[in-house]
Amino acid sequence: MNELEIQRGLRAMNAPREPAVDLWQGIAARIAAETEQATTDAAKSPSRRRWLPFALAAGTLLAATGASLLGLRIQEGTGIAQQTVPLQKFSRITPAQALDAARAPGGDPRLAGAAVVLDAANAELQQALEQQPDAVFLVSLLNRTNARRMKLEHYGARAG
Amino acid sequence: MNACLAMPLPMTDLPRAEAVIETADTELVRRAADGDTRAFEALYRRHAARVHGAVWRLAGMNEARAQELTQEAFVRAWQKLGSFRHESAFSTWLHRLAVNVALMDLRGRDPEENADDAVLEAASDPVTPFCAGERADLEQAVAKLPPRARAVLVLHDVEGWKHEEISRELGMAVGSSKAQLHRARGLLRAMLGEAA
Amino acid sequence: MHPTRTLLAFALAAACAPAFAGTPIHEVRAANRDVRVDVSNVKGSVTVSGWDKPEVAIGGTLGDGARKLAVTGDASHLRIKVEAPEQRSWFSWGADSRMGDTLLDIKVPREAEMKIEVISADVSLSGVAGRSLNVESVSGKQRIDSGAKEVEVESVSGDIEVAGKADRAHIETVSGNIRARGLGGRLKFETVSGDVDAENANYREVEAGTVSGDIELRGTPADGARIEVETMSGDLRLRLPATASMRIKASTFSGRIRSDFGKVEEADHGPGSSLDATIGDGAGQVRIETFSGDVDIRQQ
Repeated sequence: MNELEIQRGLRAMNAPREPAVDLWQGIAARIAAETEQATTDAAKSPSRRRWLPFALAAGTLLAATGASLLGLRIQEGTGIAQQTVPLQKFSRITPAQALDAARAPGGDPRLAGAAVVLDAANAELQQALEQQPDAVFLVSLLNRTNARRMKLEHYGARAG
Repeated sequence: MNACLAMPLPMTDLPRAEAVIETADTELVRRAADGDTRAFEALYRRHAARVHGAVWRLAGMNEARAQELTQEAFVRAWQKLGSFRHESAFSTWLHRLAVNVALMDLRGRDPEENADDAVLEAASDPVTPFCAGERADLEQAVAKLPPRARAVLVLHDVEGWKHEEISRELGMAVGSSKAQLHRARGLLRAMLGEAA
Repeated sequence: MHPTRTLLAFALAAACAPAFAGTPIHEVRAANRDVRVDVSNVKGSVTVSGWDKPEVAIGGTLGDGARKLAVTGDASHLRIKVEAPEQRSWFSWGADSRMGDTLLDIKVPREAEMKIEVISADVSLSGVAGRSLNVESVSGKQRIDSGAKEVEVESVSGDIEVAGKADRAHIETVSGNIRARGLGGRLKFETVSGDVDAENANYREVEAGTVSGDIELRGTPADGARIEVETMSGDLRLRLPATASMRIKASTFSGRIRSDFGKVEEADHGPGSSLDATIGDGAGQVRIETFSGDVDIRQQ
């Protein structure tokens, strides 16, 4: 082959190529494993779980902290660590589930989008911590994400 | 001129098909980013072949490795979907991500794996070209290139990237990228013979 | 407008305060030079600008469905609040869908201390340089140009654009994007999935943290400046001047590091990478950690 033919041949190589087998099962399994892992970890180590079920948190916090609408600075571990939660619910949620009144903070669909983002971030961080357990910075990211999640919940609970 | 390579390859009407796919992707991406695995599966079905083709070439036409890399790329894409900002088409973003996964894998592999001597040995065997085989021969030849040279050649001559992009992706100077390309093309010519 | 809603609006107006649909607002109150002004709006916009009069003047339009604009307090502390039809809850999520936009156009003394709370209203502020500025919103876009010494801006999903001089600034969102220009002093940018794009001027400290949002940091560090960035999967692009004097420590579990300074070390086993590089005398400090986010450090 001469240079021209090689070049033409190379450009022609730019074509899709179906994998010999369907890879979706493998991909789906890994994606599910991530989420599954996050859920299992939360079940195994309650001390790592820093955020609360929706309705419970709202009621407790409202009584404890009172007024300011958004300007909450929630202290971690101030007597709320004893709350438990049915953990099966913490799997990756679809938009339909996100809008479910039980999930949207205080039943407020405006906050549902943010709740989905925060829940997903929490699951990913838990999974990352599983792979890198001594990553202190991941723990602080997780704390921050959870604090925002609680804040969102409190905020939603104040809605009508 | 070689009659076989002059034949047009069967390809779909790319530009229009891609425009349609791109608009439909946006909605799927949004839903997948929200956690909808069925939407992500639809994205997989749409883009798997392109991703697989790209990583297959970078991985030296190794089917098993390409499958692993394709899976890895999609899992990573799922993880990073939240940060996709729709500044480019989803297919472009995914493609870059997949190339990155393949290049990282290349870096992790033994650099001696595709030694130059093996290549030159192959080049010394006279290759008798015949129509159906020529494409295969070219693929074989590319597969035999040393990993970095192959990566540069594939990204430049097959995928159409510029040296600036390639050098950034591979963490080398632009000059090195050009040198690698020159080397890769030289090796290809040696392997495939200079037919009149 | 739908006939039933019109009737309802009239009924409400008659029953409560005299607030008709789209009522123009014109209120003026005497105010100290460093008055504290609290503004609350549910839906619409809040525009604040500084002037030299010892007064707070409120213009704009009260939205259809709003009960009234309540202005209370005195020259040292004024509260401006758009009241929703049902007093049960200001933030009732049905409320803003029943309310039209209230556009508040507020002029305050230049050194006023501002606190603004909105739900889905755009906020725009300029020409005010008081002791502090605090803005909180759920959605709606924020454009802040502030000279306040302490700046705290928060959003859930709205984007934030902030410029101005501050001693300390904390900008935080969940999914909103942050764009900062010209801020110096000590800066903190936090998001979950939003992106951060900051071009900072003479900064002493920059802390940036996201879960999956991407971060781009540029600008001129002061001597001995400190930069700290943490992300899970967000990518970081950091630009440093060649004249900077910094010790850079970066590590990632499975992302990629690319740097104009120093040499990136790849882990022998596993995907990780790290970088330990010194520019100049290494007076300042850069610390970067990601899980899978990529890092790109370039000379600017």
